[in-house]
Amino acid sequence: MTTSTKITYSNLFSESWNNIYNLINSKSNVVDPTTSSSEFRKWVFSREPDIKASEFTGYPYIVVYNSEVTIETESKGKSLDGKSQIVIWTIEIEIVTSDRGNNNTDGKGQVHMDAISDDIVETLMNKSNRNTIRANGLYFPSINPSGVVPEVKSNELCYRRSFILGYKSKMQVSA
Amino acid sequence: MALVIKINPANSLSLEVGIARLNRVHRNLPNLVKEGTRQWGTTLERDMKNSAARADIKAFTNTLFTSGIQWRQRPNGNIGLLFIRLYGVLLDSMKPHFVNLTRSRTRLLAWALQAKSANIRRKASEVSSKRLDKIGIYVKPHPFINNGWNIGRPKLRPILNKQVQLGLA
Repeated sequence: MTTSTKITYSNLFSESWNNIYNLINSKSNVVDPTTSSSEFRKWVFSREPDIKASEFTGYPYIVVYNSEVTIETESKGKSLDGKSQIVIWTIEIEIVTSDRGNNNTDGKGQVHMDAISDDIVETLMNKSNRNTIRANGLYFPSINPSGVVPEVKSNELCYRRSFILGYKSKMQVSA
Repeated sequence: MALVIKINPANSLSLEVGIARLNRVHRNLPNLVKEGTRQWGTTLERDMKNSAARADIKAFTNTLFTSGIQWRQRPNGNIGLLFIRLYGVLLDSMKPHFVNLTRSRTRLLAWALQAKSANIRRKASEVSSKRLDKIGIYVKPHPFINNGWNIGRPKLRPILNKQVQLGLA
């Protein structure tokens, strides 16, 4: 796991994503409902994993998609020399769970979905976490969850939910 | 999302501030919706490509994972469309049928040489090495459009919400 640092004009995409990914990928923040605290399982990805690959470790998993950056060059908030502009980040987090499992984890897709969603909202709304990412340059958090979408894949019932995160800041975008 | 503008009747300046704020909403909202639609469109495009990959459609057969699926929106337009190449639509909803596999059908032969079924791979290699002139293979649809749409559609509201919240913050 890499550490999160302050967002500057040279790392607008990478560091904004890193800040959110590191929050979600921490076991103390978002708990994997299928493993114990001593076990390790890679379950937070940056893209949709290949579920047929031999190294796929199963459901549930979380995808933190790459951040999208909008620099508002026409906005009133920019500085006179144009070096500081309003920047808006959009980052999508997607949770995928499945009803298929072993023994007592079978049929728990929706239970896992709600547990993970609770943890994600708690993590993102946590005052200390908000202060940390604000110190790194992500202000005005906007957290927008979507509904749960059931999806059937090869006779396996999966559930998906997305969180659309938005952040805004006025920052230096040029040296 | 609710936007609350407090106006104090005793203060005439308060009314002017309120009107200025309403004007700002009126001025910015069209651009926010336009940008929100564009963001949702690119998300839908990605979801559709992921759905195609999950439906076992192979990337090498054509351009479905590049320009074959793309969100098209004019720079100043609120409306966009998700363009999917015709062969993608046919792949999604065709009836199962037999096709003749010959050496002249190079793309089909390339697919058959890497097919999941060992039987099709063996027969395709015999066609490729001229031991057979042609074979008949049974092809089935790979439905992916409905699935991609079902995943992408619910994201419209959160994306527009985010746009309005940040745009008017």
